[in-house]
Amino acid sequence: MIPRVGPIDPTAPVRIEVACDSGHAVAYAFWHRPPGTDEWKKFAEGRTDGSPGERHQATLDAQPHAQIYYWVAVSNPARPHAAYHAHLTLTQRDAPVPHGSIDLHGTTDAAGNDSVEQWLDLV
Amino acid sequence: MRAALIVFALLVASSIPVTAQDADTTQADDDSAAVDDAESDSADLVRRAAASVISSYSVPDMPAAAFLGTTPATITRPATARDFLIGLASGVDEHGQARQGFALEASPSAIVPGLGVSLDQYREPGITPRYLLANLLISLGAARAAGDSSPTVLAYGVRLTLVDRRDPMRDPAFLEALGDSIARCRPRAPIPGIPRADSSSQMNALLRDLLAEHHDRAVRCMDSHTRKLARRYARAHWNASSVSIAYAGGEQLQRGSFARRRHAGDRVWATGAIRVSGIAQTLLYADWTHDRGDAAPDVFDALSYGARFNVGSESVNGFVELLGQARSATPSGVPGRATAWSAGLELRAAESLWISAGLGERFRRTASPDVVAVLASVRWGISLRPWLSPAE
Repeated sequence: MIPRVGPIDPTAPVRIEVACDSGHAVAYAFWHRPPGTDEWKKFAEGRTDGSPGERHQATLDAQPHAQIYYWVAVSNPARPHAAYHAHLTLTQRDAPVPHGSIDLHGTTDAAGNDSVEQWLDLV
Repeated sequence: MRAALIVFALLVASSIPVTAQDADTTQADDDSAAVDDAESDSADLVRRAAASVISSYSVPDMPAAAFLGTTPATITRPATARDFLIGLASGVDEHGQARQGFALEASPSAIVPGLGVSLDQYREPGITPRYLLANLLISLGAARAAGDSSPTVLAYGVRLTLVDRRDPMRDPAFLEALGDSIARCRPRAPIPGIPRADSSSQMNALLRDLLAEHHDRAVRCMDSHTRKLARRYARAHWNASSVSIAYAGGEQLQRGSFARRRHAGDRVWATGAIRVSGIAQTLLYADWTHDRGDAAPDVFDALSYGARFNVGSESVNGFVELLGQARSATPSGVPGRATAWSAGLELRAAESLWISAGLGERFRRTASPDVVAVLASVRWGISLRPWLSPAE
């Protein structure tokens, strides 16, 4: 089932934040497809850079029926086969977007890695 | 240079009586005939203890499996509380009895909501409650000894890392390199064929396959990059300090029934590594085994301990070690104490493959010239595993 996120307020930007509470390093990329088009455009990418207090977030001007495609990778080579928990949170004007909290969880492989990619339909 | 050293070690190992050690080798050398029965028993016990200790000279990854003496074919590793409950349920069969071969490992910080530990919290200096929580693992397992009438043993264990100076996830430079490595594996574009949001944006089999293909490609790429990175880091920190402890206990279940259970024993492990300048390391090990001995009257309580000094590098080491065992409630004829020592040279021939040659009890029983010590990941827990060379 594809998550349907919204309703989106087209007058305010959407902020997307990636957070991980299982001690994994993360990398991510986000693409956007405006309504009625076929082309995806990358609008953000990032990664753990080792600095304390780092936050991973991106902002997008979006409309209903737009789509967001995400790729989130987690890694902890010190802990193979470990459970991971990450979240994607969409907000507008600092308020959560309805159905805009996406849970990403699973177990890493023998090298301590996993990735998740999927798309969201904004409504 | 490495090849020359390996060849040298092979020659040494095969040409002198004090040769390599292999835990499965049982050939005795001529010297052992000279000792009396009690001493022979004692030496044998020490050797067996040494073999088992050496084969796991670190706190076991999964204490419950170590208690059972098994290597589970499949380990359930739940990522959520729900998965954990499902995993527990899978350990019980339709008759309410423990299922053979069941094995489960979980981190409370992963399965208990609110106990998650972010990378920032994990990196806070010192031994913080969050750090300890993130390094706490619980395990469960069930196994039955050979024979239809043998009771099932249900084991439970807990493992905790207190200090680990070789933990890369607290090193900003490593984290930056790790972030770079995994970011290189991001896909160039989304999968093709995604329906528009204003149409019926549903998942179909083709899209599922494409997502799976993207996932596999990204993870393979990440595995390749992060393994290299982790190996380099582990080698650079081969003699770092660390302290780990673990406990496992067990219950004997007659006919697998939880209602007819009896305590089967306890086991506690502790290991410590102390960095000594840039080229040496001292290792300490203790393993206390308490067994009620209900099923085996000759079983006794034992405290195995050891100390070892390594000097060299991540690929070549000289070592001196002392192993001992203090026993209580021993059957007649079994001495209450035994010790063994050894010293030698170890060379890393390949990843997780070591060649060892030396003198002392550890090397005494394997005089066969075709036996070359092939000690995989055994160097008193200073091997790259379990931390940084998974699945080698």
